[in-house]
Amino acid sequence: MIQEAKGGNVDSFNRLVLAYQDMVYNHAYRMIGEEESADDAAQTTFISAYNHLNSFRGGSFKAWLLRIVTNACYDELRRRKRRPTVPLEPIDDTGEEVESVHWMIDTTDQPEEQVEKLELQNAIQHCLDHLPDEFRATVLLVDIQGLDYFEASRVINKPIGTIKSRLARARLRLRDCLSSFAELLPSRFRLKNG
Amino acid sequence: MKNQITARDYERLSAYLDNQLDGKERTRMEERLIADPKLRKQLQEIEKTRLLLRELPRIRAPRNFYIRPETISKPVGVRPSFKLFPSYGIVSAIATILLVIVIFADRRISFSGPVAFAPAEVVPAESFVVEQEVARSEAATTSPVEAAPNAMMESQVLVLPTSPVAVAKVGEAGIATPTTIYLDALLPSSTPEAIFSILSGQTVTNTVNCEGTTDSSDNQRTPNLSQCTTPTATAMNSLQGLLSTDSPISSPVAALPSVTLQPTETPYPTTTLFPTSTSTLEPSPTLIPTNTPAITQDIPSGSIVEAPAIPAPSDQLLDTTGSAPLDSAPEQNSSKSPNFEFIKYIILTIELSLASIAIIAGILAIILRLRAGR
Repeated sequence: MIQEAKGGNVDSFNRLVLAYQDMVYNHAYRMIGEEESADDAAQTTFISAYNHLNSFRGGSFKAWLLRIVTNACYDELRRRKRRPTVPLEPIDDTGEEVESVHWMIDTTDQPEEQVEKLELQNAIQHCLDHLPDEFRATVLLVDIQGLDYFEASRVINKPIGTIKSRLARARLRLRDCLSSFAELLPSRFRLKNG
Repeated sequence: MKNQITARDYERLSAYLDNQLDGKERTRMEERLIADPKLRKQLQEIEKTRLLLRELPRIRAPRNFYIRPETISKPVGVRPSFKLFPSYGIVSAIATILLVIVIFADRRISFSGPVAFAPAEVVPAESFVVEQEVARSEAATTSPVEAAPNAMMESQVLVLPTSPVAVAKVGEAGIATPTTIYLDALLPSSTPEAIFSILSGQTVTNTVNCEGTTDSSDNQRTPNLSQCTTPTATAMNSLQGLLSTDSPISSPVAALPSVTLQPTETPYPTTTLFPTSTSTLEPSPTLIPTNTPAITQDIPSGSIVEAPAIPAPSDQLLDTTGSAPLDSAPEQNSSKSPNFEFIKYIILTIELSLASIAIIAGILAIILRLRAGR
């Protein structure tokens, strides 16, 4: 399929898109934390992949795509830092800003178990959002996308030692962040309490 | 203290969890984990965090990100920026060639510059000398034709020890013109300031001596006049101004050239070197000896009426020979000397610019070629 796509066959490339779009979008969403921007980043990733398909010299196509989408997310995050926007975070009853729109999702008509899961996911995403970009990218690549250290170092274009260091620090920060959501965590995931 | 967990320990714990430690480190870590419950607890917490992340549900893409042929204008795999590397290479090569040409031209200018501009610097000092001689000739009422030779002969004896460099060069070049002295100095730089700085010791001394002679108007100080040997264009202007009048002063002035250029009456080695210097010094474009035959031609005329045309061997005689107009060249050069400096700065700027372009374009070409080859 990749060889056919390299030959200019758009249909073959679109089959690759279909196979990897969830992975690409998921990574973009976890990196940016916003659906629209993740959508844009995923679309940019596939267009860029199509335009640069000849530079793919074999190996893991997944890692190659992850590299493109990670760079697209970095670009989006840098653009956001250059042009900071007013957050659309609502204010609660006490007049304080609700930190994330994830908490605004209405879960009243969902089973309790699903609600807890969703809240836990929101808590994890919240903690991911507060990581430095480089730490977040590393922990997503290794712990969510399942790459090994070598593949992650190829994606981020950093040495394996950097991957080790960033990953350890990212996990520690996540542990500290998630410990403040202990009530959301299932008992087997409770941190620092036993 | 020993039981404290460092950042390095956390790094090893994280790598241990991912099975990324080598055998030796892994064994050591396991031993530590058995011995240290605190470390064990940290490992469990990191493991739980990792599990939480791994259990995050995969979010499905909200739509299909298909590529439509109409939205892709470029063919697959075409990277326009990488097409540029041949042009960068060409730009680098052209800039390098231009740089070599400019450097070569700059070298040529640097070597030819000082010789061409030499006379302009010596003129002021020499003009004083000739004016001194004129003044002294005016002051001398009796036999001005012989007064000058006496002065020259007396001066040579005293001057030779005081300015050995000048005398030695005179002997080699065959004529004691300022140009000859300058050529022997042959400065690497053609700037007037540099020339003056090197010749200043001698030139200033000459000027002071001549002034001292003039101020006192004393014929007994004539020995110092030996350093004021050659009249120049500036001197000729003053001399011609004097000669244009019908005053009796004109005759002593007219006698001056015959004094300085008489081969037999002056003990200077210049007189004997006149015929030979023409052939030996021809390669140098600014050497005066090419003009010396004109001097020798005028000298035999001997008449006082023709003599005023002779006094300035370094410039008026050039007109008679029809050779390169050196009398006007020094004036032009003296006025163009600062421009030459300016031109040098421009050339230096061009050289630096071309070098920068060559280096940057070359590096870009290499980078683009490497990226295209991946």
